[in-house]
Amino acid sequence: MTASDNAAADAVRERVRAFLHDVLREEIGDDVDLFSTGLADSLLAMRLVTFVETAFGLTVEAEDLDPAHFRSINAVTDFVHRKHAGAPGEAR
Amino acid sequence: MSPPPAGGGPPDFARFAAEVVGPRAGETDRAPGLAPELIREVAATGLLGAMIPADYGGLALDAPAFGRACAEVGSWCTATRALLTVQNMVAGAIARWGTPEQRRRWLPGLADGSRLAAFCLTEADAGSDAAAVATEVAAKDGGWVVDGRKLWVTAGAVADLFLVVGTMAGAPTAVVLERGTPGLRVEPVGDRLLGMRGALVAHVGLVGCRAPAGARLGPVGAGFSHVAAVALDLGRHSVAWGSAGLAEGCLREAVRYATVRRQFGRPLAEHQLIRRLLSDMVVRARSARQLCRAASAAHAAREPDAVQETMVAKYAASTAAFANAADAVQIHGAAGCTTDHPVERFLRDAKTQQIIEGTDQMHQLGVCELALREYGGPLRAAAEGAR
Ligand SMILES: Cc1cc2nc3c(=O)[nH]c(=O)nc-3n(C[C@H](O)[C@H](O)[C@H](O)COP(=O)(O)OP(=O)(O)OC[C@H]3O[C@@H](n4cnc5c(N)ncnc54)[C@H](O)[C@@H]3O)c2cc1C
Repeated sequence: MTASDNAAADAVRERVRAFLHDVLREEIGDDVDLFSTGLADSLLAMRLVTFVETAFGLTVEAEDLDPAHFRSINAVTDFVHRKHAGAPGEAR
Repeated sequence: MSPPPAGGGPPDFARFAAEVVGPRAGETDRAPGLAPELIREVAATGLLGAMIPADYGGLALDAPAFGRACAEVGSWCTATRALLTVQNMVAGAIARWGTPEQRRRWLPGLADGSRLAAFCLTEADAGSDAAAVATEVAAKDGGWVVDGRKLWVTAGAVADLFLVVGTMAGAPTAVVLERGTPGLRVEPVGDRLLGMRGALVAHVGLVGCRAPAGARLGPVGAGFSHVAAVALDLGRHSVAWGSAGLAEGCLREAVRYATVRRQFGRPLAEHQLIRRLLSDMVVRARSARQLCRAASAAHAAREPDAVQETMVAKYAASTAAFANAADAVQIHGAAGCTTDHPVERFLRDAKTQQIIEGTDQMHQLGVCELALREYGGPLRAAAEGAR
């Protein structure tokens, strides 16, 4: 990652953090598993998809619905980065 | 169907509802079941494919426009509105998560109404706790085998496509089954229902139903959290608007009767206590519509909170519909307790709106989260502090 990649990732991470903080009403660590800890319910899953799409201007496709992409703040940040970079199989 | 308005655009749904749906609503309830000709007339308006993208032949209405259409139809006939609801739920899930091939295969027929869809989630032990579905989806010979039993499936008696939410070794998985699949059996239950009797509700038995590889909608594991979630959100939005319409229909009928029926030498509407009932009905109907507008606006703006706004609207509107229906029957007196007037049907239908797409209690739980978020601190800290 270049310095500008890192800055972009930090900005994404900050927005994801802010969104989840707003929804969950608590600070959570960047690697905390939202689903296995029970912090997130089934309603959050779709809200997170809509948030990622509208906040970062991308389309989440069926094949992107790997739980690993939405598991934590860092996972979402990496997912957004890969979608923006047009990683193989994820470019639109 | 009603002619399109001068200058093009979609047909006049208000006129269609009043002139075509309304006059057939009593018969739909008594039969019970929407008549095939009426379904064809509804299909001809495009409403069955209201939210389907134009590329697939749909009307591509946005959330506010589809909502208003649901209110128009719902103000006359909840069973007809329920058909629009479920068709757009299934189409919405396919449009959102289907592969390009699945969209091409299923959406055009749903858009023109030549194929009808049903949404199969509820089971004997999975009602409000919908994630507890036990219908098994198993991989076999490059396709899927589905076994289970789905209950209270709106349009199940006539559907061509069944969006079934099951589980694959514990991972929620959605599969689209076609009518005629060996082992798929529908048992209509309309004549045993309190309300929505015309909505062609059926139980659906699934015994060793085989489906090709391309029948799975969305990935394994996403059947509930994403596929059913999209359908349920669209369903709540449509039921919310339909209920707001029903609340308005109750008011319309109550005013009509109260201005004609005379007691103590003057129309009912000139008695103060009746005016009080009518004014409460106005407030409930208008509040419901405003909340539906807010939910639709959140949808149209693709706000993540649209789901919650829709829950607020659905809860408020179905509550308003039931209260207005009860008051409308009250204003009609004995006449309101007979099938001579639509208000007794409105009362039965309104009760079902407080149960489908999530009961009142499930909505209360969800709506409460909004308040906690807006006014509360961190839940965990509060719980710890209280200990
Ligand atoms: C006319 C009609 C059409 C329908 N169409 C469809 C359809 O197309 N597809 C489909 O899949 N389903 C359909 N349903 C089923 C509907 O979604 C369910 O009836 C609904 O989700 C409630 O489930 P249940 O009936 O099993 O009630 P239950 O879940 O058994 O609930 C019974 C009562 O207990 C309350 N309750 C349950 N859990 C709690 C809790 N944790 N806290 C407080 N109270 C609670 C409920 O609010 C309710 O009042 C339809 C139902 C009707 C009546």
